[in-house]
Amino acid sequence: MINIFSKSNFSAAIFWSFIVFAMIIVMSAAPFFSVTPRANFAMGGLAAYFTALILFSIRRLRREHFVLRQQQLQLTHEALALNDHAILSLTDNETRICHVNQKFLDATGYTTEDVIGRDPFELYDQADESLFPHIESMLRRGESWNGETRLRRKDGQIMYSQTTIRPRTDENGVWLGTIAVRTDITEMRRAAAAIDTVAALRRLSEPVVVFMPKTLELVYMNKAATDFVGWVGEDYVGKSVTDIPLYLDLAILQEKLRDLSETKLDQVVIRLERKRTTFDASIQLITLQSGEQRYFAIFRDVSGELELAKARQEFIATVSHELRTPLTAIKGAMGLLLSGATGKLPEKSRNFVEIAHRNADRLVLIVNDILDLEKIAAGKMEFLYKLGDLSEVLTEAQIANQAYAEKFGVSVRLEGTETPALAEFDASRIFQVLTNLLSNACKFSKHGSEVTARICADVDHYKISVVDNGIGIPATDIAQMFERFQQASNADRRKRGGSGLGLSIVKAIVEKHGGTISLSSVEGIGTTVTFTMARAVDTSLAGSLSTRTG
Amino acid sequence: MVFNMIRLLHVEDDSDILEIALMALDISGLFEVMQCSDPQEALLKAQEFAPDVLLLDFMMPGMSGDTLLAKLRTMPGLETTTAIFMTARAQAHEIEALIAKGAKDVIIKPFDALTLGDQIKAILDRP
Repeated sequence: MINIFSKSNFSAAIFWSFIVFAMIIVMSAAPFFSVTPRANFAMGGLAAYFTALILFSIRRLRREHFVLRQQQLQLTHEALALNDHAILSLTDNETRICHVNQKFLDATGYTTEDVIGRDPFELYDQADESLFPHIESMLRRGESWNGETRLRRKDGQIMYSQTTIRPRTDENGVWLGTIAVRTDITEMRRAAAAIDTVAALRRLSEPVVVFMPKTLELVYMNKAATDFVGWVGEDYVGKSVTDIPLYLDLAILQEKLRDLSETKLDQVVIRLERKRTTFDASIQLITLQSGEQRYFAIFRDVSGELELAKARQEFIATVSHELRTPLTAIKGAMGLLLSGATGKLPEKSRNFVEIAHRNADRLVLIVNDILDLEKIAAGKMEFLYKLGDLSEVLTEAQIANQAYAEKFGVSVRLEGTETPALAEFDASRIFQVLTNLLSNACKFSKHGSEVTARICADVDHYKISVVDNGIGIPATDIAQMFERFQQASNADRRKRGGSGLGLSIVKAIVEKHGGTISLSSVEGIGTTVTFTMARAVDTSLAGSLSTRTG
Repeated sequence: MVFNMIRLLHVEDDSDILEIALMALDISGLFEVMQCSDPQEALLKAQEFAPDVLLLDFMMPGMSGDTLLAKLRTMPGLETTTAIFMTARAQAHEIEALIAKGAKDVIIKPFDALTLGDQIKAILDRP
């Protein structure tokens, strides 16, 4: 059935009514113009035709207007949706930002004033610089560019975005600028990274355990961790870290965790034995993005390392023993020969025995120094730090070195030792440092010259210098003097012996005390070695001890 | 004045060191020395020799110095005899361990042959 009230039928009825009405008007008006009936009819027809034409045009225009309005509405909705969803920015024909939407401002933290008029590439992270030529060339060719970009927010953080940039042109193809539409994917990337991290943690061959502070409730164990303790899948859910069958001493664990949360330690390590295997559990307190904290424990099998270290130590000790035993015989025999216990030696023989004896002494020094260096490298050298007087130790070292100095016809003068120089140090090790420096200075000094050992107080540290007027060190050798087995290339120095390890040990000891050491020398003039030691902050600590293994 | 020589039992497996030590101790003129190159031999002769001081090498094949000392200590008359170890293992913890095993002191190899006698006398004189 035809509905005459429908919009189209109603319009058609109006249309035809207008045609009939127009014909009636024209035909009724004909007698007034005294035209023939035929002309009258023709005029009526013409009027009807024009009326129909006008009405048709009006109708078409109305239709087009309606469609246009529909499209406009649709576009408005699309634009609003896009505006709500995406980050928009427009540039002008000089590639300067001329418009950004609110979403852009919210996402980047900039204000309109911050960005309008700027080159959009200025907002990109430097890592994206390589993209710029490609983007520009595509846009200039009239093509869109799609890809991932990194914008720098106002706070300096990176915003990852999925970006589409289109060229803007007018109807004649004249360049107006660009429009960039972005979606912030920073969170998405973080989430993906988190998923990847969990997946990587799961695949990690080392056991990882995550647990809560206070309750010690287990939050996560990777496969290696569940395998390690003999659990399956998510057996750990609802359990505490103390339920892990590792014979973990709760008191020790809590003490270590307290250390971690109350101090600035990055991590604490608990050593565990399990089935004849030694593990180190390194525990870190991590603050998550949400602000919550979790303990992360990574277990590492250190049995191999320990065995290796033990074997190495054993090897060094054995080598040292095997070298010292024959050295005892060599040195003893030479010493007895030189003492005259076996009768007076002819002068020529005596010279050669002296050479052999001196070199046996040198070999003993090398063995001792190698052992010292090994101890330092393995962290086994013990340091007994105690508040003491550096002036006193320097005086003792000078006395101990006196006979040696006399052997070379050198005198040692002390400066600055009349006032106490309080510092926290291991007296025997600093004595070792000073005797080494003093003996070096004497050994390489000219006969009859003077060696000066002085202590100078600075704001927060002491400078201890040993200055000789000896043969000096060639400029090319100075930089290597603290390296192992390094000696200056002057032939004379080589002749005077030494293991070539002394200064590297001295440096290691000074650095273990938190000090620095330097050497300056002019060949033919002399050498100065200076090291620093921190001044004691609180002298009321006198007598307090602290032991560290370096 | 009557001077009593110090009776010293030296046990060392290295014959060269035995010879050097003997001459070194001889130079000092302070010691009456008995030397054994084998710990078993020392166990057989020690009681009869009745030493005032035991100078024992630590690393010997068959029996270590500390085991030898423990056995000597069970013999009447040697329960409190001053013992000194001689060793080439000179690390601080090793020396401490040897003293803990009942030695009064430790002489590190290589020793100074010219002062060995004085060194032992100084250890004996120390309270």
